[in-house]
Amino acid sequence: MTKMKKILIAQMRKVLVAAILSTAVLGSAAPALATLDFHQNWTSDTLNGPANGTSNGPDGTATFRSNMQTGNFSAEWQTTRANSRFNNLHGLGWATGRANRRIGYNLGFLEHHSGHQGMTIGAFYGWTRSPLIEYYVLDNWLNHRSTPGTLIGTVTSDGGTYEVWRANQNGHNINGMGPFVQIKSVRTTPRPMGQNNVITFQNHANAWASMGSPLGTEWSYQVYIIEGWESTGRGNATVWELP
Amino acid sequence: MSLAEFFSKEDIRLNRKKIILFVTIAISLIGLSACDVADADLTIEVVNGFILVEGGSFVSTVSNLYGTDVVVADFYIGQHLVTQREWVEVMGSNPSKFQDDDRPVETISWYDAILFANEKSRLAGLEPVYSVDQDQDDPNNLSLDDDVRWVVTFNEHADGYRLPTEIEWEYAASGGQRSRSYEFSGSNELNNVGWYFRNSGDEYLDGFWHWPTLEANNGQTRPVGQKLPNELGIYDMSGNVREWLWNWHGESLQADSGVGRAIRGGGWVGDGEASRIHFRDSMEAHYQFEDLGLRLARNR
Repeated sequence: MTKMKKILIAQMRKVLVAAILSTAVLGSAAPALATLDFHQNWTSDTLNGPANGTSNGPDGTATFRSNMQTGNFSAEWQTTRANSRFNNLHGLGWATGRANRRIGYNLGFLEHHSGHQGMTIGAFYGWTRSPLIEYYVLDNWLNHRSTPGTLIGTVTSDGGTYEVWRANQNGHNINGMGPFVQIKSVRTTPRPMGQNNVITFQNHANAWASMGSPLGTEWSYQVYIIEGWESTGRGNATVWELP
Repeated sequence: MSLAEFFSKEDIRLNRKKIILFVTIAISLIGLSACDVADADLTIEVVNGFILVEGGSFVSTVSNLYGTDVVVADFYIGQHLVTQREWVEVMGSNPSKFQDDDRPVETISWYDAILFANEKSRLAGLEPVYSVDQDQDDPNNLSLDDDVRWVVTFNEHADGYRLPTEIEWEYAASGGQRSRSYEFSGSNELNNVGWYFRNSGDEYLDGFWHWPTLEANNGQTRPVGQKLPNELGIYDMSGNVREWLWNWHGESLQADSGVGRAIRGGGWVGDGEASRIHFRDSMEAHYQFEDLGLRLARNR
């Protein structure tokens, strides 16, 4: 065998091993439908965080890594002074939502290190118009889960029970200022981390409609987010769409 | 009545020097696609801040009324949103959150807008368009929260200032007979013609709409006329502040009753969708928000 052939075979082996490892690592968490089309990396200090990098500001710092192709993102944030109102939000999602979207996600970890009044969440989030509704499927929270509004029922989906809270809001929204409805499904027991979870959004949309809050006919964005509010913490998640 | 006759009448009443501006707007196309902005060499006639909109059927293919038999009569519309300077000259005080003479007035209700139009008409010696009965409860107002509920009737023959109808607004915003069927008023790229959540603050925002981001970015209204005009030479019909219109909001663009009044154009808070030509929205008439203002119109 010539030297050249040996090099070629070695390279092919490397590619093959890399492919096998990639499949093994991602497993079923690999995006079934590669439809993710935008990211958000925001802190109250720096506004426009890079898709990959560290944002530094007077109230806090945040490091964000994201890969639109694999759907994986991670964030680590820290408030740098007492009583700051540091807020950070990171996520990947879709510019146009839909009721029958099923997403898979793997919240590798989510940690709330400090901030006794603050909170850290992992949630599916979006907006519709006609009517104007802001919605959450809140699967994970740390420290506390304060939810404004009225408890209007419960819905069972994806192996768990969610309380459904509705609040009539009057303020800033995707159309401008004015009244809108905020509706949240809040899982009574947080989802396990480090494993693949499914959110069958249609179950929530149907339940909300049966409770008098049908989602709108026009769909704005829909994302999976990790958000910290007055907290120091970190998290890692992979999100993908299921058929 | 011709344009000259129309404004001669007003000018005699006001005893003011007639101001007729023939404005040639040469829009710099550096960095912009010629097919993605309003006319490159647009000659428009602006008289006392108003532009004559030649009527007709809807030309814009993105309009809700394209292909219908709706025919719009000629009318005049303000080249700019009503500014705070203009509001204070008429009403004596400024309700706006973002105070600046050249910015659009905001934080006004639909009722405030009606009173402003009438008062401006009176000051100009014109016949007020609206009759306002503050003692009656409007049976066409289906809102459960509006505790103002004045009965306001429209005298279509009066020559004073008024709000545009929703049909007039859509016709003018889409460029009337000069329409190039843009998605926004004057362009397919909102950044060229309008202020909205991404560009209304200190930095240009990417990512999705998120109020804390917008708030931290100091999003706010901007002085009128800073972006490119549309095909008719009208500014800020997409973005900056949303505009109160005369009509009730309903399935029809000429509803006889409703929960709220039609508003159009989107504003500095919105995500840009509301700034599209065809996007319809409403607001209960009593609300006052810092992204909600007005533009005036007149009969020809």
